[in-house]
Order: sequence, then C-alpha cells, then structure tokens
Amino acid sequence: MNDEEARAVILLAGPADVPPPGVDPERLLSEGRKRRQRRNLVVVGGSALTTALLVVLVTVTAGQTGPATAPQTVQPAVAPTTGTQPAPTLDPTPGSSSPGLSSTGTAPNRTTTTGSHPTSHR
Amino acid sequence: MEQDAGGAWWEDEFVAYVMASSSSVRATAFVLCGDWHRADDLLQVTFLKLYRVWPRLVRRGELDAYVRRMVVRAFLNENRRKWRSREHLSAELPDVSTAPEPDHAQRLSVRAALDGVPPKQRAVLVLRFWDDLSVDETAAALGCSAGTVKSQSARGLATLRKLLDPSQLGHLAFQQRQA
Repeated sequence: MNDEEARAVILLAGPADVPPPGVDPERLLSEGRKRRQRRNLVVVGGSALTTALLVVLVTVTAGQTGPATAPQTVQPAVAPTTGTQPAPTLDPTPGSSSPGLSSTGTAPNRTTTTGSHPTSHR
Repeated sequence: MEQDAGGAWWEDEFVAYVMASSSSVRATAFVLCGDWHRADDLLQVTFLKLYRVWPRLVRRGELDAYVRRMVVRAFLNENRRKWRSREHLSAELPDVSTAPEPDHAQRLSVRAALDGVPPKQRAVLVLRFWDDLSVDETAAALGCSAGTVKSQSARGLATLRKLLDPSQLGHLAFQQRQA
C-alpha cells in the first residue's frame, strides 16, 4: 500500500458529514474557570502550608540549639593512678624527704632511685 | 485585567478559536476513535487543557499544532488507561444524526479495519494521511523520532492491509485511478 492508497483509505474512514458540534462554549468556560480556581487554591494553599511548616521547623530548630546550653563546670585535674608517668623531678639531696610522697596520698608508686628511669606498671 | 464575571480578559478570543477549530479537531478525533461520543469527550478534554494554557500559548504561537498534539495525546492516554479505570456509559446515548453516506458499507468496513490497528500506529496514520503532516511534523506531534514514525506507519499500513478485504483494496485503487 503506497502513500496515496493509504490516504484514500484513511479519507474513507473519516466522516462524510460532520454533525453539529457537541462542544458548548459556555459550559467549557465555566468548567475551565472552576478548574483554574481550584488550581489557584491548591497553589496558594500549598505554598502557605509550606511556608508555615518552614517557620515552625526553623523555630523549633533554633529553640533547641540556642541559649539552652549551660556552661559546664570545669573539674580540677586529677593525676591518673595507672599508666606511664613522666619522670618526676626529685631533689637529689640525700636525707631530704619529698613532700609529695606521703604514704596516704594517691600518688602512684614511683622509684626514687637517683639516676634510674621510672618503671611503668603494666 | 480580569473580567467582573470571574472570567479572564482573553476568553472571547479563546471562544472564537474554539468555534473556528472545533469541526476540524472533532473530525480528527472521530477518525482516531471512530465514535462521535468519544470524539466529543476528546474534544472537551483538549479544549479544557487549552483553556488552562491559553495565555502562554497565544504568546508563543503554533496553536493548531499544539491542539493537534493534545488531541492525539488525549486519545493515546485514554487508550493507555486500564479498562476498569475508563469511563463507562451506563445510560443509552442519543443517536447522532448524520446525512446518509453514499458508500456507507465501505466506510464502515474501513473504520472497523482502522479500529483494529493499535492506537499508536493509528495515531501515526491519522496524522500522516488525514492531517497531511510530514514525517517530522508527526514526530514532533507525537514526541518521538522520525524513524519511529516511519516504522509505526509501515506497521500500521501492514495491519490495515491485513484487516481490509482484498476486494476493497482493489476497489479503492480503481476509484483512485479514476479520480
């Protein structure tokens, strides 16, 4: 079937006589206006809702991260009871007692041998 | 610039266009679906969509091509919908009166054959041979490539040839030679 034959067939499938149009312009306009109003309502309502949600979200977020953080109290440092200790500077003079080495203190065990390195407890 | 009755300022222009173009658009819709009632539905869907985009479309031009594209897309969308989601007519529809056609039986059989062609191929055939569009214009209207239009057109014509009675094809060829 070439193009001319196809055209003849399709023309035969077309209407010989078009009946009066079924489209009423007034109905078309009223339906179109209704749909346009509905769409405008959806657009305006949607953007207002989105704005309100954003405002709420920003308010809540700002309230959580704002001045609610109280200043933390700084605890004095406590010497650790275990672990590697830096070498204490001891008074090398014999007979003098070290003020930090009391028997009841919380100081770790330290060897006081002059010239030797401190041993670490593992 | 809105009219006091709730209508827009361009509505007169829109109504004038609808009145001028409805018969040709309706005929295209009829060839696509083979039924005046469905053609009227397609026409209404098309003009309602046109109403929504009218101000932008008028500024850009190419109204006829856009309307043709909307009719074909509305037809294809309607056919793509599942059967259960389509609109079903429950009441008896009034008969549409038309003038008696001279070759009524032949027209009916051609319409029945065209009805057997798949919707996409039918849309291509209608745009190419009823609206006399070129391959490129048809491709633009359907949103596909020119190669797709050619292949769909060839397949559609093959289907139509299969569905048509060979004697009818001979008769048509004879009529064409006489014309």
